[in-house]
Amino acid sequence: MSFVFPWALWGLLLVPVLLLAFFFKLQSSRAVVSALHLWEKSTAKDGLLARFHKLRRWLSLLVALLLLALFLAAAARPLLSGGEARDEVHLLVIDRRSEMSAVDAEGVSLFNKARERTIEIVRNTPDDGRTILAAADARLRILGRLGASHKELLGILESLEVTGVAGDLNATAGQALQLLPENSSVLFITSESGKPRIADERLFVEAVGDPNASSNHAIQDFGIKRRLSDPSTLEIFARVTGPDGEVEMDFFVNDSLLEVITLNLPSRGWSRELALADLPETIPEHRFMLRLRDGGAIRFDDSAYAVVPVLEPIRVLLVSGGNRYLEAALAADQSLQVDLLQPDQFSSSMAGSFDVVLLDRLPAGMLADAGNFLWIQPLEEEAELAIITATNPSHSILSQVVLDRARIPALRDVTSQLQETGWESTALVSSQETALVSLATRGDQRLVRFGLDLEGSDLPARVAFPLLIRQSLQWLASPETAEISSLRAGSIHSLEPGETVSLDGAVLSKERYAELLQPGFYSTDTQSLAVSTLPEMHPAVASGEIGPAKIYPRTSTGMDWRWFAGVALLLLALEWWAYHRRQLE
Amino acid sequence: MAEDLISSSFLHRLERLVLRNRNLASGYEHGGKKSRHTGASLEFADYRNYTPGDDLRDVDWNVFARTDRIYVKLHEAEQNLHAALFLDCSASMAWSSYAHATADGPKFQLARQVIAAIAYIALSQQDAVWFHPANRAGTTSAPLRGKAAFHKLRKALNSLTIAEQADDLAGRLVRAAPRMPRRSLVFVISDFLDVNGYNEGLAALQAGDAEVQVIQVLHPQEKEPLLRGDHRLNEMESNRSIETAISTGTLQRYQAALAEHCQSLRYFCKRRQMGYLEVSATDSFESVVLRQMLQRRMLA
Repeated sequence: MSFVFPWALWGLLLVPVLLLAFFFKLQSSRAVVSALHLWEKSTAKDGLLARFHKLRRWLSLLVALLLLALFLAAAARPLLSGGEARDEVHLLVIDRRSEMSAVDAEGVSLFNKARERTIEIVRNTPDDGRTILAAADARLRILGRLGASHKELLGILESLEVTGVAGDLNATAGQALQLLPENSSVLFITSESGKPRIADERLFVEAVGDPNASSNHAIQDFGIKRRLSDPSTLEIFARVTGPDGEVEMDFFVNDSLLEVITLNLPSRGWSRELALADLPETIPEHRFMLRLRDGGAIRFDDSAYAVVPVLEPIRVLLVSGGNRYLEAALAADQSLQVDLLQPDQFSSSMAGSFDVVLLDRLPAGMLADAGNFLWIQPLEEEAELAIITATNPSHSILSQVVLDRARIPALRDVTSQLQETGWESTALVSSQETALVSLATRGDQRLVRFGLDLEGSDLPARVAFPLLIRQSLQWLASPETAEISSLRAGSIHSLEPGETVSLDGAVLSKERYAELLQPGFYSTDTQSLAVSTLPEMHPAVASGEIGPAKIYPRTSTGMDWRWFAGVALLLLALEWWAYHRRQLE
Repeated sequence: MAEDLISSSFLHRLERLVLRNRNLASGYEHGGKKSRHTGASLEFADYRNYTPGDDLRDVDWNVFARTDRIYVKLHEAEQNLHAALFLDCSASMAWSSYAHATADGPKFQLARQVIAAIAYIALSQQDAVWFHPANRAGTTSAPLRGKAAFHKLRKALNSLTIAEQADDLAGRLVRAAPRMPRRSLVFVISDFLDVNGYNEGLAALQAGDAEVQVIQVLHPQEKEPLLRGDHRLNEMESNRSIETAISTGTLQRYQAALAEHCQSLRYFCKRRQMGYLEVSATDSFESVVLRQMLQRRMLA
C-alpha cells in the first residue's frame, strides 16, 4: 500500500498524546461523596449498563484510536498495490508561467524551486503508472507518465524552461479537474500568488515562494493604432505598473533606439504619435519594441512587442459627375491615391487598374466584370426616409461608425437585380427588408452598395461619413488587411502546410500549428508576429486559445478516502450515542 | 479553622434566648428552669394544710383570718437544666465538594456554630452543658456551668478534628445515654448519613426521659449533585469506591433515595416526639439560630 499524501501519517504522533489525555482523564474522574450507600442504591438499577461501564473506558480509548486511524487514512489517501480496482489518476503539474521566472533573495528563480520540488516528488512517487506529470502555462501540457523509468521524465523536467505566458491557473486547473476521473487528484507546484482559487477537494496546491510582485515593474499596456483620420500616423500608448518611482524604458523601432522614456510612477502612462512617413519604407513592416531597463523580478513582463505592416496606398478611381462631399472625404485621407474621372470617360477595362472604382450615383450597368466597386446607387424615384432596424457593427466597415439619428432616405433595394448578375449580397445596414448598405461578392470581385440618397441625407455632413467611405475602400482593396499584430504569449498560431515559424532564426515548429510561448518577434513564411507577456484584458492583444488538455484515460482505481472519512464519522456518531448522549438527557 | 465561631455581638443577642423543653427541669442545683418539685422561688404553686414543723413564714395569714384554718403556701422550685450536645464528627461532616473534604467545610462549620450558640444560651441560663463530640478522639466533657465556661467550650470546638474514617454515631449515642441525667435536653447535630443508621441511638437517648432535638445538616450539592458522566465515586468514611456513569436517571434515583432517607428520619422524630430541623450547610448561622430554631420552637 502506498499513500498519495504520506505526510499525513505524521498525525500518528497524536497517538501518545491521545493516550496521555485518556489516562489523565481516567485519573481525574475521582469524585468524593459523603454517602456511597445512597449512590449504590441509585446505580444498582442500571443493571447491564453497570457491567458495561467497567469496559466502556477502554472501549472509548479503542474507538478514539480507531477514529484517529481512519481520519489519518482518509487524509493520506492510501493506494492499494495490485488489484484490479484501480482507476485513480494523479496529476502533478509544474507551473512554468512567466511569473515563475521571478527570483528570490538568494537569486534562485521560483521555477527552479518548483522544478526541484517536482523532481523530489517524482523520485518519491511509486512507478505504478497512475501519476502523470504536466506543465502549465496557457494550457496544460502533458510531459509524461511516471512508469517504469523516471529517468526520461527527469530529463524532460531538467530541460523544461519557464515561458512568457501570463495569467492565472484557474482555467487550467478547472479544465484538468473536469477531465480527470472523480477519484483523482491534481497537485499544482506553483507560486503563492499563482495558486488556483478553485474550491475542489481534488485540487491540491504547493507554493514554492512568492514572486514578490510588489518589487516588480511590468509593462501593463502597449498599444499601437493608426489614427482614424490619417492611417499613416500611429498613436502609441504604454503604461507601466509597479512600485512608485522613476523607471526608464527604451523604445525601439526596427531594432533602432528611437527614444528613451522616463516615467515617474504612479503615472497615467506614456503616449506619442509617430508618422510612418518618417520611417524607411523599404521593409514590409515596422517592428516596435518597448523595454524596461530595470524591470524587477519577472523578466518576461519587461518587454512588449508589436508589428505594424507598412500601409500601401489604395488606388481609387472616382467616377463622378461631381460630389464635393466625396471629393473632400477622399482628399483628406493620406492613405488613398485618388484619380477623378467623368462618367462618360469610364470604360470597364479601366477597373482592373485600380484597387477600387467608386461609382457615384451611376447605373448598375457600369459595374464591370473585373475590379472592386463602391457603388452609390442613383436616385431613380422619390426616396423615403428610413429607420435603421439592423446593423452589423462588428464588421470592419462599420467600426466606430455611428448612424444613430442620421437622416437617411432609402433607395430601391436592388439586391435581387444584383443577384441576377451573379453578385452574392449581404446586408450590412438595413431598414426592415430594405438593405441600405450591403456587401456583395462575385468571384474575386467585391462590391459595397450604398442604397441611400446622399443628397437628401445628412450623413455626408457627419463625422461618420469619411470613416464609412475609407473603411469601405479599405475592405474593398484588401478585406484581410494586415492589422497591427500583437499576440499574447501562449497563443497557438496555425500554419499552412509546409510553412514554418521561427524565433530569432530558430525554427520552432513544422507542424500545422506553433505555440508562441516566449515573447518576441516570430517570423513565418508570410508574415511577422509580435508576442508579448501582457495581461488578458489588454484590448490589443489577442487572447491565446486554450487547447484541450491531454489526460490519460482511466486505467486504474484506488481506495476511496471518502470511505475512511465516512466510516470515521459513523463511528464518531455511534460513540457519541453510546457514551455521551446519556449525559445530556 | 475559624478562630471565633460566634462574634461577641451575636453572643449578646443570644442572651435574650432560652432553650425550650417540654420536660420540667430535673437538676440538682438551683437554676432558672421550672421544676416538678416545690421550692423557694417567688412563683406561687399551691396550698396545703399546715402540719407541725412547717415554717410559720409559709403560713398564709390572710386565708387564716377568713377561714380560721391554717394553710401553708407552696412555691415552685426552680432548678437548672442539663443540656447534652452531641456533634457528629464523622468524615462525612467535612464534605465540602467532590474534590476534597475539610474541617473548614460549611457543614461542620455550621454544626459547630450551632453547638456553640446552644451552649451559650444554656450557660447564660445557669444550665449545665454536656458536650459530646462524637469522634474517635473526642471524649465527653465534664458538665459546664456559667458563662465563664463558654470559653472552654469554644476552645474545645475550635480544636475539634474530623474522624478520618467512619464513626458509629448510633453506637456512641447508645453508650452515652446511661451516663446522662434524666430528663435532659439533648441536641444531636449530624448529617445522619451514617450507613449504620440512627434509630437505635436516638431511641436510647429518649429512654432516659430526655427531650431530643435533632438537627440535620446537609450540603446543597449533596441534595442536588452536579456530577455527570463517568466517575469513580469514593466515600470518605469507608474509603470504598464504585465506578459508575452518572446519567440523569441515576441522579434522579439518588435524589429520591436521599429524600426517602431524610423523610424516614423526619417521621422517626415525629413519631417519637423529637424535635427535627433540617438546615442547609450554606444557610447563614444567624438565620439558623434566630429564625429556623425559633420557628421549630427549639428556642424561645
